[in-house]
Amino acid sequence: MIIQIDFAGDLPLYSQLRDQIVIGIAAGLLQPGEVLPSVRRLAADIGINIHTVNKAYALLRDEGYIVMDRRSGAAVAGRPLDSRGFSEHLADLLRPIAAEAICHGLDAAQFGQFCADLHHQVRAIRDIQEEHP
Amino acid sequence: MNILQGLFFAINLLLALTMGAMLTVLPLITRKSLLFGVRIPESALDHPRVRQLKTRYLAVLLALSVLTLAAALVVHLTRPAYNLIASLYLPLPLLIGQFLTTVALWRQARRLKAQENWQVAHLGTAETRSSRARTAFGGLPWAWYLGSLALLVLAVLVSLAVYPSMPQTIVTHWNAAMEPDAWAEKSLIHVLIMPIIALVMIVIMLLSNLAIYRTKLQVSLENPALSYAQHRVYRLWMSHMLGFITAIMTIMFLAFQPMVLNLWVPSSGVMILIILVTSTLMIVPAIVVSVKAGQGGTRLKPAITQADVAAAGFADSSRPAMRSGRGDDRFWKLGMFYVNPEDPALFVEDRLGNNGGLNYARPLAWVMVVVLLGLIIATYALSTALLLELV
Repeated sequence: MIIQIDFAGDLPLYSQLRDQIVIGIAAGLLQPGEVLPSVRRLAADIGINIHTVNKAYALLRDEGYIVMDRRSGAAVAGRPLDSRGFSEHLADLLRPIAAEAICHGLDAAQFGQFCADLHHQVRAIRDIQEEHP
Repeated sequence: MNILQGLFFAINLLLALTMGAMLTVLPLITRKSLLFGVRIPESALDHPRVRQLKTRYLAVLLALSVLTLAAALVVHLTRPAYNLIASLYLPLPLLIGQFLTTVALWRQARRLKAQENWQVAHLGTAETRSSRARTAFGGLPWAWYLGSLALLVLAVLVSLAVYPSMPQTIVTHWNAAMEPDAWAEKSLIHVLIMPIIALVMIVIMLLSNLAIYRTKLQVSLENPALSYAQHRVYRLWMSHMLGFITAIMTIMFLAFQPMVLNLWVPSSGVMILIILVTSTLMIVPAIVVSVKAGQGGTRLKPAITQADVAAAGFADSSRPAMRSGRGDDRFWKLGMFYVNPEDPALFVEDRLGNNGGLNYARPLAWVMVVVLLGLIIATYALSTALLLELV
């Protein structure tokens, strides 16, 4: 997959990188077990500090999306994620966003539809991948 | 000697024409979003001032090329003995003129961007496939390199077979009229020097071919799958071009092997013909591929495969929206020297034309520049001294 980082964006660079890799895994663009570029290679390609990539990889490792090995580097985790406590985590993430949606006048159905659409968008890419391997 | 002077004049004309043409087309083959090192939005491409700056470059470069041709003619008419030395120094004013023109136009482009308040996205892109998978991208044309190596091995075997029957004293140097003027005791190193140089050249070409697969991937926001397809085809074309040049270069070196073995001494005409034909065969594909493909393949319109879409991934709608701003101009000094201490990359895509550039925030970049400049100056000093003696 192609990772794109927006230097003018609001989110910190490491967090953009983390998000892109999570989306890549969800969309099937990064397959379980697939080797990720080395920290140095990825930093050089994007044109960012090595420490930024290190930070994103460490975060992804702690969240269980990737595994890191001293010799073979980073790879997408082959095992399913540990989803205990995910509902609480998701609630924490979504609560302020739901509040913002209320402030902007969205009702529950509209907000729900919005979330479902985004879910479909990422799923759809995965379906295309599986149809044309 | 007059025929030789005529040939050297022809070489000068060819040199001036080739260099003039290569420098003149630079803005044409550069990414459209770059105007003399300044990043501009796609919507600004048809702005009359943008067209005006490009036309100005074209006019100045054409004038410089014509002046270089005229200078070659003047040297030939007044001091024909200096024709060969002129081929060393004629390109220099052309290169300096091109540099100054580009800097002047970069300043104007920068002012134009500020005046019009043009905003562009500032993006960093990366391909997640590992370097090994990337080498399989388009595939390296091994046939060219293995073929060149096979030729080389053949030449070495023939040389070793001929070696015992060679006389103890062999000719090692010929003057411009191809009369022997230096002799030496025969030695294996002397017999094998051409294949050794050819081997070094093959390795260098293979390394630069691998470097193409290691340069940054630049993706257009409008159509990432197209960018991906363009890169794929671009890498393929560049690889085959480099492979072809390697084969021609190997043939050129080995063409002199019979001379080294004292088996056959070509006349000076034949020798110049060999050099002219082989260098044409090396220059023409390089120009054709550069102009047809453009920087990173941006002039290509390849068919987009399912694999390109899959690799580029996301439809635009699932990507986060990109903010606009001043872009990455601040990292490009004079619009052509990349200085970014945050970026660990050493090699980057150039801002004008189809060449590679360096990240001058890396100390290794300065080492490379100093070594390269040293080599160029030494070559110039040595060749000038040698050629002045011939005059």
